[in-house]
Amino acid sequence: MFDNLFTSAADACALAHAIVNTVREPLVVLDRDLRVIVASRSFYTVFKVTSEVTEGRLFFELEDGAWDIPQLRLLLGNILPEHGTIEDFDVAHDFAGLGRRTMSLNARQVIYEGGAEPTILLGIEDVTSQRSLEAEKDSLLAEKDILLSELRHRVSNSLQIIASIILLKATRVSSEETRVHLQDAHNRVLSVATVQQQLQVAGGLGRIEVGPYLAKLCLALADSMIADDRRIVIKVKSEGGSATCREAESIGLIVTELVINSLKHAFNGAKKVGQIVVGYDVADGDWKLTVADDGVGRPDGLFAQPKEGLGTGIVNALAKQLGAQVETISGPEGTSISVTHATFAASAIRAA
Amino acid sequence: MTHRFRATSAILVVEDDCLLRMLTADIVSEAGFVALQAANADEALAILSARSAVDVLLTGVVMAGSMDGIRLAHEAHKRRPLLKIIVASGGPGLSNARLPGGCRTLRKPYHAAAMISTIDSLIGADPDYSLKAPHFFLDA
Repeated sequence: MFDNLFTSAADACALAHAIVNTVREPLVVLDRDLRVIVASRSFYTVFKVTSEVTEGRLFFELEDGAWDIPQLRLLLGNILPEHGTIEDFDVAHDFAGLGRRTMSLNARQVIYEGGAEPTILLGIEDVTSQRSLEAEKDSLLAEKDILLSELRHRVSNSLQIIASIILLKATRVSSEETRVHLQDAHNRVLSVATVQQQLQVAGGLGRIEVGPYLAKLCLALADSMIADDRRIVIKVKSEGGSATCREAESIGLIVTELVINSLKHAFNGAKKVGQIVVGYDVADGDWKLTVADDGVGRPDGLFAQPKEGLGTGIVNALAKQLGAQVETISGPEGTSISVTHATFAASAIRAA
Repeated sequence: MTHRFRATSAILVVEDDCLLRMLTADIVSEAGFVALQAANADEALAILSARSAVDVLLTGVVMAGSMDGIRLAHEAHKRRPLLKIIVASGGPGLSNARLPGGCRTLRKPYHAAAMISTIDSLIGADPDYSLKAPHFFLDA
């Protein structure tokens, strides 16, 4: 269509002039030696110069040499003839009459089949405010990262202070029972911190892949909870599934409590070798978390504590919050505790 | 054989939070070590040059002053290649690649037991032989 409308060279030329003068971004047409053939009205308006001091001059001499940058010379002189276009080359300069500006350059080489010398169309876009917004955004993001890491630093220091005070109290009390409780409190502060840290590693916001999260959490638990003289392995078996950050936090705390429970009761004194298997399975929006050990089980089949302890209370409360049921099976082969979340819809499908 | 190791081993605790520094030094000395304290890298380096008997440097990462814990670890390692170094960080994943060879890391907040057993393993002390607090620091 375009070709059919402008069969006359004069008409095509008039259109070309009109385009050059209509575009709002400054535009210059250069010859192969990079001399200005013509510039758009917007070029003269923006740079406050006249056609007399512009046309026929080398592009690199314009604006007191603002464009005379070795990299731009290379781009226009060598790269452009080979590649045909240059996009978004930023030039920051103190332009006479304009002040400090960032200009983005886009260039295209035009080759004529009619035999005319190739020319270069060069568009110049003032991207100062755009670039300063980008820079501001980058610095805000950097500031956010600094604040976040500062916050983490303070939180971990505060938790370390609390844990240390509790531990020092434990070293100074005479009652054995109180000492054990204080040591327990020391461990709990650190367990909560471990869960939080693993949540941060797993992503922080949005949904979290439960498998890798539990794997890292259990690795951290094993590192900090298993003394060197015990050969207890914690394994994580999970075939996927994701949870919200809040659910993952509860699941992590349940796993922590149950693992501590196993270490305390299943592998106490006599038995120092064994494994704890943490499983997480999902099906149709349901999930099942299991923590099973092959340690010293409870012959009575009850949750492995004489009376309902703090750990049991925490697990039950968190399970309730997740809408899940806690079941304990214990025997000579060890103890297995499962926390199951079964939705009504999924159970109905299974029943049908 | 080696409670002697704890009693004759000096641990330099470097931490710019004064409360945390004091508590950490208390835990270290409760376990039977000699605890020294520095509030920043410059103080730590001054102690290292003034006193030959320092066995382990235990430092945090984030610190005010001329250098952070990571730079301190490098500087201390350069001056005293045999010094054992533990770097404790609350940030995610402090990589050993950023530290001199042989350095150990702890994730803050850490179990006191983990900190003490790391020191023990670095200086080759036997954790089961401790006069003041037998077994205590290794109970999970």
